Amino acid sequence: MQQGGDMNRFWLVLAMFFAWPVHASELSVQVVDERGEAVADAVVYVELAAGAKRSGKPAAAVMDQRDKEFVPHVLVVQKGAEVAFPNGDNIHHHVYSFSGVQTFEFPLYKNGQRPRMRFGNVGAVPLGCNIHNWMMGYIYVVDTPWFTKTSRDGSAKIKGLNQSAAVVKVWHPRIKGGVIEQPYQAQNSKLNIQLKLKPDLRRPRPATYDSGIYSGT
Amino acid sequence: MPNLFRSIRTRMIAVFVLLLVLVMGKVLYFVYQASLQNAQTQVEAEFNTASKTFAQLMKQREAFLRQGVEVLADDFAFKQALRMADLATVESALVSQASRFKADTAMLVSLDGNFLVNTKFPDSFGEPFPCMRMISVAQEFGGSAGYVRIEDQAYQVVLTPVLAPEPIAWLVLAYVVNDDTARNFSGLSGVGVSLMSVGDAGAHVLASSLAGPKRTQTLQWLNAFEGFDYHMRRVQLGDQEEWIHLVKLDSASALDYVAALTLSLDEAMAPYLRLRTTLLEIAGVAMLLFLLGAWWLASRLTRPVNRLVEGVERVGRGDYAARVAVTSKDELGVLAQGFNEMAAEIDARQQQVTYLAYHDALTGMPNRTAFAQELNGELATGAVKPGVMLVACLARLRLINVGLGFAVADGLIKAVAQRIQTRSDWRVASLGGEKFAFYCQLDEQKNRDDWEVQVRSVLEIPLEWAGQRYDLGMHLGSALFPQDGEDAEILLRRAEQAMQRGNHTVGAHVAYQPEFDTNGARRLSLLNDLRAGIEGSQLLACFQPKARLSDGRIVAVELLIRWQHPVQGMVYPDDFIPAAEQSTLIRPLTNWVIDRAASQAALWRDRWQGSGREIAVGINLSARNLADHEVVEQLANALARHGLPSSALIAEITESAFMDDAETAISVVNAIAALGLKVSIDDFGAGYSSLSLLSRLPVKELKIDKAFVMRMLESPQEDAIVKSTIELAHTLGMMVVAEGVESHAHWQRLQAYGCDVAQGYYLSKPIELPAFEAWLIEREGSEYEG
Repeated sequence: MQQGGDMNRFWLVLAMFFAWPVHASELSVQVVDERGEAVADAVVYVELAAGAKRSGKPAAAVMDQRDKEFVPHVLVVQKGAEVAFPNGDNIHHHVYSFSGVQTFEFPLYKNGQRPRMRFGNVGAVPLGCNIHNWMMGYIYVVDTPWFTKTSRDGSAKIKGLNQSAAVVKVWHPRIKGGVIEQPYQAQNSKLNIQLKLKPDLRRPRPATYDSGIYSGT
Repeated sequence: MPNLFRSIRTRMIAVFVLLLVLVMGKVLYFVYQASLQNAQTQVEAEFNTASKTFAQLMKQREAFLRQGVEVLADDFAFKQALRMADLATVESALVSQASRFKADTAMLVSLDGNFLVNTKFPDSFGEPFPCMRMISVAQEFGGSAGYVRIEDQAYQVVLTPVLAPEPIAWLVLAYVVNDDTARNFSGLSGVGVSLMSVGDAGAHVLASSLAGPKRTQTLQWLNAFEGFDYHMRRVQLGDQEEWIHLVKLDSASALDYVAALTLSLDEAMAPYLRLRTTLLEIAGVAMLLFLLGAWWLASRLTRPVNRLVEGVERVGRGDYAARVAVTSKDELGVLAQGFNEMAAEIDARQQQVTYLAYHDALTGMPNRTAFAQELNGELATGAVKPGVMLVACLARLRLINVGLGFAVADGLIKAVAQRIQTRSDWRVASLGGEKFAFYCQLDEQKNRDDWEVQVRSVLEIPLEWAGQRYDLGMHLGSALFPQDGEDAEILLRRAEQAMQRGNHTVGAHVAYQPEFDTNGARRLSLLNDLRAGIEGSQLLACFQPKARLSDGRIVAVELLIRWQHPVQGMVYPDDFIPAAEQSTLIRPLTNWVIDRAASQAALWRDRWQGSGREIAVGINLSARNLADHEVVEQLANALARHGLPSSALIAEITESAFMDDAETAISVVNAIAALGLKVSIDDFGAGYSSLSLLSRLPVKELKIDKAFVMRMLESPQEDAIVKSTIELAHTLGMMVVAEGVESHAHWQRLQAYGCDVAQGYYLSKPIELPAFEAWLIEREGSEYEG
């Protein structure tokens, strides 16, 4: 995944040679809310120490719209990644974001059109659809190659960490009080993070929309 | 009013009516109670409906607001404008939306709770939204609704986030809740509506549909409300009762917002009050009908009773022919029958009484009353010729009565009556016992004398009765109509007076003379006054001194009674003692004199104790006093009461006192002398007393009549009588008092004759006590002073 310097490798070998086997390349995180329940879609990423070199080209990503929902709900991309917005529904969508990180708008487009956008600023970009008010999605832009998001059981794993890993951060669309930060410690490969979440303010999806009368599905 | 209840009928009616009132009152009470309960139930139901309606209405308004606020919050262009911080555009959008939804104000509030825009209050930028709790609720639940107060004005608000797609601000749409709102709802529901906030700082009324004093009172009560006990209650507001139903409204606000639904008891009760009025009217009519019915029934029942009462009253008035026409077979019928029998008996007895009242029981002849009434009736017609009233008295009948007994006397009277009644043309009457009256008309043929002859011819003929022959003898008195009197009673009385003048002469006929009457009448009228005079202290005592001729010392006084008559002035004893003697008044009069004399004697004895001076008080006793022994007792009592020796009083008795019943008088005088009193013969020489009588009496003193003494200086005969009387008295061992001593010459002459005591104007006339005592002191010096 990444290339350390010779010295790094040296230290690694040395470390393996010495007393304990080092599995420092992997971080397990379990995210729960205040009630101890698993929190899905929490973004977990490890930032590099200042001055550390980022390697590789940010991978392109896809924020699809299916059945009038953003899929995935939360998309984590590395800074500079290009995200495509293919319309998986057979209706028009009008995707926009008023976020200060990146403001954009794809007015009415339909399946087959595939608008793309490169995200060069770090931060959360809430997405809405001007046609379907309840639709809400997030693109979270990080400046590190080590990132992931929790699965349904609230767990996440990041592999291939090296010495430049410095700070573990956790974010969630409904997080209260901003990003949680914790210094990365290699020996401590398992973290339990508890989040305080705001209530979900998304408007309930109107029932009639599910009937498929207008969608034809 | 109490009179009214004396009648059985009104009492019966009163009982009936009272019962009816009780029953009706009970019924009315229960009906009223039930209707009151009903009213309460109805009010509860009304409140229930009203509160549900109210909640519904507010929910509707809320839904409307929500719609409006969400439409705007979801508007992309609006969000874009907001994103671009174009507040002017945002405000115009708010105004437009508010007017579209007829909201009173639209507001935009920053996420941290400060006003960005308030269309109603443009200057409120930056000020905090008045209810942070609504924002925190909205943060929790994606929106909130409720009530807030801005500038003391209540608003119903709906708050929703503007999502872009995350919340970027709060959008609020609001309706004013004011008196108009409350009135609108009040108009819909029929109950009074007030809206108030309730919190720790107390209650605060924000709007009300009420008006006038009711508003003031209700708001006052609501503003004073404490606690969170929202339910229906009855409250006294001012002078009327009010139902208040407190309904807590759904609100996300920190304060409770409460709708107070009010309904006055009067309003709620109005239909029931109308019912009550109707019931009262029915009761009134029923009462009236009942009253009439009861009146009719009671009258039917009491009619026979009233007839009985009427009958009794008629009998009471003297109408003994009264009969009661009650034919029923019940108790009242029996009572009426009994009453009729009783009335018949009374009637019969009354007729008998009437007969007796107008007839002489013995002879069956008309009596004095009947005679006078009949004659008066005739005289009153005015067409009556002159007449003569003759009264005849059978002269010897009294003797026969005493000698032969009543039976013979009565038989003779009856026989005479029969004989009189054979003369059917005469108008006659029996005046009781031996007296008969005749009234005869005078005309050319017959004068008074002719009639006298006629009467004599009937009455003077000797009578054969039970084999004996009686010559009853008679004497007559007569009075003339109209000269001697124009009234039968007067004529009768005057004829009787005249008859009595000739009392002791058989065969006499005395015609009435006017002077017969005057003395008698005056005496009679005085007698009437005398009782009052004795009781009213109108009597006076005068004292006339008696002086010893040997040394001139006053040794005794004579007490003389005077009567200060309120009209006639001073009355002397000669004018009223004889009248008193013929009545029972002599007794208190005697008592008065004796007590007065004794008390005066006692007073003097006390005053002059030890001086050796004693003045005896002389009392005049009349013939009537000597007729029985009562006076002895009176004298003894007076001496004992005043602690006097018997020598302190002198009993002065005139000779005439022995004329009527000498034996009794002598025994009484003896008894008086036995008490120790000096007995003195008064006016000696004026009467026809005999020396033999004097010798039988325990007399210690003779008082020579003043007629002799006054004339003794001029007349040798009188002088001789005085002189020899003195000598005679001395021979018999009596003291002599000369009355009528008027001059010093008299005094000297009597002194020369050896007379013991002098009394007369030369010393003093009889004078009242203060003057007498003053005279005494002047004459004999201060030794008499108290």
